[in-house]
Amino acid sequence: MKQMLEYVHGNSIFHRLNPLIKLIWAFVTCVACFISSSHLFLLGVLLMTIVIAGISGVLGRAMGVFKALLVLGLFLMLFQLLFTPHGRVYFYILPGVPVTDLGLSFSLLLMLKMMAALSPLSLMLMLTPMNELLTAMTHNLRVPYRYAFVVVTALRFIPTFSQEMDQIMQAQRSRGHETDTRNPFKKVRVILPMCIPLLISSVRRVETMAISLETRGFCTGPRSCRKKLGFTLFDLLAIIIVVAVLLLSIAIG
Amino acid sequence: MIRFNNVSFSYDNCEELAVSNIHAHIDRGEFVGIIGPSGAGKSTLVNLINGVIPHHLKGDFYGEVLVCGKDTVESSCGEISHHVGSVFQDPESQMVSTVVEDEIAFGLENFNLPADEIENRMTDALKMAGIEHLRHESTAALSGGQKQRVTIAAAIALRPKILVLDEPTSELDPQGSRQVFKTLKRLNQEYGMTILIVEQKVMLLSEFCSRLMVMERGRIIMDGPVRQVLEHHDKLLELGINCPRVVTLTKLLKNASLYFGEFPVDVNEAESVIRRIMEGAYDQYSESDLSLQ
Repeated sequence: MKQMLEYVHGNSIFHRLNPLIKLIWAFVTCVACFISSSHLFLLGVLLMTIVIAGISGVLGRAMGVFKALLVLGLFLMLFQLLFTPHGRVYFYILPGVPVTDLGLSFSLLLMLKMMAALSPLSLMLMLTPMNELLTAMTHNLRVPYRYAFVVVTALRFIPTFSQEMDQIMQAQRSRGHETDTRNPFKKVRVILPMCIPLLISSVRRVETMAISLETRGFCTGPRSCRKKLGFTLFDLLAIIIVVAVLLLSIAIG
Repeated sequence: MIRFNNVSFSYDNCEELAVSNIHAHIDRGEFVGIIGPSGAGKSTLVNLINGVIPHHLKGDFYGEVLVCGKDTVESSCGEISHHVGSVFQDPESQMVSTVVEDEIAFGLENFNLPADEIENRMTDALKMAGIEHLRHESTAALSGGQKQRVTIAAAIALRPKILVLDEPTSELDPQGSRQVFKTLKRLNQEYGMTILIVEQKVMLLSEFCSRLMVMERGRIIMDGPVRQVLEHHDKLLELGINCPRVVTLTKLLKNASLYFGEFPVDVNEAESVIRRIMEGAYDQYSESDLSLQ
């Protein structure tokens, strides 16, 4: 989880892209994927995301994301497959539960949709420093600083909490609490009680954080910005491509 | 610079006073160490200076605290933050950003400084904290000690007149702690920054600070130049504060009527004291000593 949303330092052409363009790219691609119901288009978008990840030098990380999305996607696909009885029947998995051509095509589409729509969001977070994201939100999108800060801080605390959870799990394990189980229902029952210490410690952390903010002049007046974020020719090119993708998705349907 | 006039404070939902009847005056350019057992009110004292009390942590507040001549109750936390920089115990939850550079720039941007000024101050602060190589690192990947240095750098970057630190070296190794104290000493001497530090490592306090405050159950029970305070090492030991070994050694020398002077605060001073004693001792017992050899 934490690997999917964390910024990776770099200096590729996509790292240098204006954060606003990256935000627009992620959201427009997401929308385009939901508009389109063409397997080919979705595969194309997915391929584009992989190419961007490759050029930016975060392919390894991105592959992790794809893998996680694939697992989730396969799960979705299976459900969709089992609950679509229409179309030409290929064979029966269980008595009365057919696998049909329509079901197969539709469930594949759903999986592709999810992967193609979500992976640009994750890639955008890998390629954009939080600070720039904050600037894009406050300066370009006119989101009030307090609210933009909340969004960015939520992302910042993910690794902290995941570390904390690991620690709690290990502490429980060392006292003989069984935490490794393959049964998902059991897993939930095992993990749920550990959420309470996590909740308590996170409330405490947030308290300290608030104090730290107060002593560093948070929201005391107008705020300056360290980096001037300009638009280059490449930003223009990128926005043209993004718009083209959106139009294509509408055209193909 | 900082003045406590008969200050008492108790937190909400807590009957006992966290600090009571505090009278103290801290001048510009002092380097003050605060020590005492846990629950003695050290953190409360620090939070009274940076305005966290009464603006963020609520409770019953008596007396007045003046920072740079202004009552902390009347000025907001944001106003106080222009004079007072703070470093707290847990570095992880103080950090607001995911990259070291942004963490240090955060306060500077809040103060609405121009971009080139931010860049200069950031470079300076990173250099002073000795973490220039971490500039582009992700904060999640840092060790506890590195994180503590980042929080210190973030406070230094704001160039406050007063810097208060609440156990800033708790996760640092002895070498790292010494490094932090050296940085603080430099800030104190070169920029005349007034520094208050809560710390358990008495050896470092006695070596670097000019003044020591000892707290117990919400009161300042000793306050004075380091050497003077160290003379009461019996009382310190009672409070569970281990005196530096050089002080213990000097005490033994004094008990044996071999030494009558001031307490040394570091190993070098102790060495010269012992050398002098030994030279004197050789004068008195030279013959018997020689015969022994």
